[in-house]
Order: sequence, then C-alpha cells, then structure tokens
Amino acid sequence: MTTLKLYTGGGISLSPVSAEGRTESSYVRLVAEDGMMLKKGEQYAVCVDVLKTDVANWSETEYIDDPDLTDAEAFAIIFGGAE
Amino acid sequence: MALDKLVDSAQLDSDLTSVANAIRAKSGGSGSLAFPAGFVSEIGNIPSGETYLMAPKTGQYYVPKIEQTLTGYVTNNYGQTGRWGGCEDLEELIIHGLTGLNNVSGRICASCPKLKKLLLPDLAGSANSFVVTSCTALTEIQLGSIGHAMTGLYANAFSGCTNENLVITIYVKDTETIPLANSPWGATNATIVYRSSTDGSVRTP
Repeated sequence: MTTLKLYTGGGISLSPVSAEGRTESSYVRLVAEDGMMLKKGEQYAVCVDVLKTDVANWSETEYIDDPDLTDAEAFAIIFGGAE
Repeated sequence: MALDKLVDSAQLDSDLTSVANAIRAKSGGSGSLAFPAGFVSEIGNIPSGETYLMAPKTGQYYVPKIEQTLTGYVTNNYGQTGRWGGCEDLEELIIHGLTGLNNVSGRICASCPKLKKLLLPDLAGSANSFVVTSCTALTEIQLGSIGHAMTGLYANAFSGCTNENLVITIYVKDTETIPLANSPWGATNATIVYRSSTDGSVRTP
C-alpha cells in the first residue's frame, strides 16, 4: 500500500500534486499495490482518500473479484489496461 | 401540371445526387434516396443543433469531438467497452441530458486512447456504474453542474484513468459531506475539485 500526501486550496479540493496556493491536507490517498485491494470492513477500493486518522483502519488484501464484474473488468481494475 | 420550363435532365440528376450525397454525409446512410419523400424523411431524421450522430457507425469512430443530447436516466447496458468505446480519434465527449447511470456493467466509454475531455453536465445523484475506464489521456472530467448535484459514485468509476494531469470536477450540494465515498474512484493520480451545485464555488474538505 502506498500513501500519498494530498494538498488542498488554490482552486482545487484534493490533489496529490503540490502547487502554489495549496497546503497539505488532513487527507491522504491510499493506493493498493498491483494485484491487491484496500479493505476497510466491507468496503473495497483500489485507491481511496481518507483522513490521516483513518489510515490505520485500512488494510491491503489480495484482489477479490467483484461478483458484478466480468473477468475482463476485474483485470482492468487491477492493471488499468485495455479491456 | 404546368409545363413552362425546359429542364436539362442530366443536370437535374447531377444536382439531386449532390443534395442526396450531402444528406447521406450527415445521416451516415448509403442507400439511394427517392425524391422528394426520401429526401424529406432523411433530413427529418437528422438531429438538430450541434449533435453528432453516434451509433457509433463505420467512420464515426474517427471523429475528434462528439456533443450529443441523450434523454433521461440511462439504465441500459452499454457493454464493457461502452457506447463510445474504442473510438480511436475521439478527444472530447460532451453529453447533455444524461441524468443517471445505473448499471455496473455499463459505462460511457472505455479505451479511447486520445480522449482528453468528458463532460456530463446533467448527471445527478449517485452513479452506480463505471463511468469511463482505461482512458489514459483523460485530463478533464466533469460530472454535474450548477443545479445538478452528485451524491456518490461507484468505487471504480474511473478505473484505469491514470493520467497525472487528470482533474475530476464534481458538483455537490453545499450540505454534502466531502470527499464523497471511495474518491478518487480508481483514478489513482487525479486531482479532485468539488464545486457547489448552487453557485459553482470550490469546496474543500
């Protein structure tokens, strides 16, 4: 799991990119490693913006097929490539 | 019947063919058109305004910009590649009138390698489906607008849209808690801009 700083202000709400007018946010972006997903209770995501105080509640787990997705869609979520 | 004009039939045929060709160029059709009923019918089927015809049909995969008006809440399944999936030269896709997406297997489009801008200004509420996936050139997405507030998005709505310059603008009510759940919805590098659906001002969490 990768943790990215997020910035706010300067005309945007949340961004991993620092720029003039932006200050560090109380939120961070968690990004799952390839083939993995982030998990908090029953909530799953490949990346998610969370309060720094909530980071400890997220863990990384092996990718679990979404029953609503086809294999091709699941593949695309994991690897971000063409379907 | 008044017989008071001489007509060069070859010239008339040529002129009618020119008009028919112009109609076919707009409609995407290729069949012959009977005069006048066929001409009238085919012209009547051409959407008004700046709408581009999109089935997509042969040849329409290669237009750089599509601005189209759809009607209402779309629950049908556009399939894994989306209605405009794989449009090779598409750079801008603007869809008016689309107020909802509600099928997890559907999406607007996927794998459009040049797509930079996707605007869905009339979308509102919760979009419980993919929106656009695997479009790595995307730098601008807008969901909602003033008067059209979003309340939620499917966790992987923008899966595979990884451009570091991607800015996702989402209109929300002033009372909505931000960030919305699951942001950035699979767009790992995206900058998120929440705007008020009342006055367009930027909101920060």
